[in-house]
Amino acid sequence: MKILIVDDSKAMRAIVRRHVSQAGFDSAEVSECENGQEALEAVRAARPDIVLSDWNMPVMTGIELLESLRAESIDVPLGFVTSESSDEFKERAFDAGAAFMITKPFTADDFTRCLAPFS
Amino acid sequence: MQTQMTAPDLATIVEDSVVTMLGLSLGDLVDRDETADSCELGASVQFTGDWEGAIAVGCDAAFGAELAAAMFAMELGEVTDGEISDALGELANMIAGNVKPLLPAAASLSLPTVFRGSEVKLGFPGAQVWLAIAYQRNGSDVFIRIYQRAG
Repeated sequence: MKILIVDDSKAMRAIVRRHVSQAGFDSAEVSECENGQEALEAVRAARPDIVLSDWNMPVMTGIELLESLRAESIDVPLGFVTSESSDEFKERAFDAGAAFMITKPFTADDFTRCLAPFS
Repeated sequence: MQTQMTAPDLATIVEDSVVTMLGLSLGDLVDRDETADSCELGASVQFTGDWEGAIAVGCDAAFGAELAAAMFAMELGEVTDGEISDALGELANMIAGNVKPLLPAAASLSLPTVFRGSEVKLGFPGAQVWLAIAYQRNGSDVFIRIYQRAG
């Protein structure tokens, strides 16, 4: 399983990577990008099985990444891992085709539950 | 939308981020009037929109290093200044994201800004402290303040 983690914070990428492993995906092939633009190019080049993306990032946000993927008919599942927790953001995310939303702070159980359908 | 966020609400958000997720100790919650006015490390996230202000997290270098070591799963002595800045900025971002739905009006978040020095004074031009909490650990303070800009 190939997982792409997208977050401008190196610290958060490390935490997400660790939680993904703790959630039972320790054999997954995990790669990282720092913003939506980098992730868009990475997905075009080597299609991951799932993208775990922050929302607020410089250059290209997570929701812009999702909208760009869908505009190119790339239907890779994308779940948000974000501190944005309001209903407004959830509605916008799911309207755009997000697979799930994990709100920071999170636990390994959140990743187990959300990633299970993709294992 | 909730109209009055309380200090216990803020403490729950901070403790969920630091204690529950990272397994770090924050020490004792103290009266903010007893806390320091300056710090060695600070991180802020701005709120813009119908509600204008900012959230700031201040701490000493030792807590910054512990935070980074916990986030990166590294030894305390191995973390770099860049990793400490990244960790503190992410903590401010996490807290701000959870505070946002509890503000009296809609707001958007900025990306975090981190600052460091020997005596960093937290504050924002034209803004006053709206809500504040502080923890004392190992003789030093970790404080979290929400500022509201005058409309």
